[in-house]
Amino acid sequence: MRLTSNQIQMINLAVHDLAGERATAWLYGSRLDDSRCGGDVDLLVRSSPAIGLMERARIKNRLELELGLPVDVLAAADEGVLSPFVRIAVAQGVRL
Amino acid sequence: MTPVKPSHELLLAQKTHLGNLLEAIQRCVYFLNASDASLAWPLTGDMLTLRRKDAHFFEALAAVNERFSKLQDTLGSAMRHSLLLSGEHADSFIKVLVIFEKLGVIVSIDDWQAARSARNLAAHDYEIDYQLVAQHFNALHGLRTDMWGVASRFVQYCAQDLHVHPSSTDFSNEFTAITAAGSV
Repeated sequence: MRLTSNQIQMINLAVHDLAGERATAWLYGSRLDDSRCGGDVDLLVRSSPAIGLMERARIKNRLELELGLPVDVLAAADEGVLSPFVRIAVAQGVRL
Repeated sequence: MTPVKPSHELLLAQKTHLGNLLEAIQRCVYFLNASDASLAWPLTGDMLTLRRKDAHFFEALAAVNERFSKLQDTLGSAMRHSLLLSGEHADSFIKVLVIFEKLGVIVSIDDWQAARSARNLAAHDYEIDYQLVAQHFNALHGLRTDMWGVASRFVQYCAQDLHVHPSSTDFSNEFTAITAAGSV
């Protein structure tokens, strides 16, 4: 995983601040691949209920500022049917 | 080689360009309000599922998305351009926002940037989960009055401090009514 422990801490803090203490952050996508360079930080935020568009936007903005990297934020509910894309993210994702 | 224009001519061109941008802002507000008013808010997933093949309905939604983006982008361009006339210097857009937050045109830089990211996220999502689509558009609907507030205060700032007005009054009455009422 191409994130430092400091970056992971920033992500968890931002997710808890903006999506609630019980929300969880998952990393998926190219940052999981140690052989690659650069790339967005693809995050899945899971909570109950799923966060909305504005919360996603605020998490994205805060993390882009703090990490200095492009961040994409996907949201999904803890319970219920997941879209195929979220299922893929969950299957390959690592909880931070 | 293009000859260098005399400074008064350049100033006039800068003022005219800002006037055009102000007219464009008023136009964006007018058409965003029209698209928004053609829909029944708040949207629900059930409503979208029921109307999933209603081209007119989805055209109105697409128009809300496009016009919201256009309004925010035009406001951004106009704010940046107006600094040429006010004598302020900003080498990045965040500094432009800081100046206009100080002037009271923007209430909060965080809110401005969240609105920008929200509409970009909504534009790039390709959800077919109608509940999520409804949620996205409800968020944009909720943000429109914030944008109108920024637009109204910016137009007033240009008039009072820079003595620049929209290039035509075509949309001025409607703009004033929409931004004053929050919704028409």
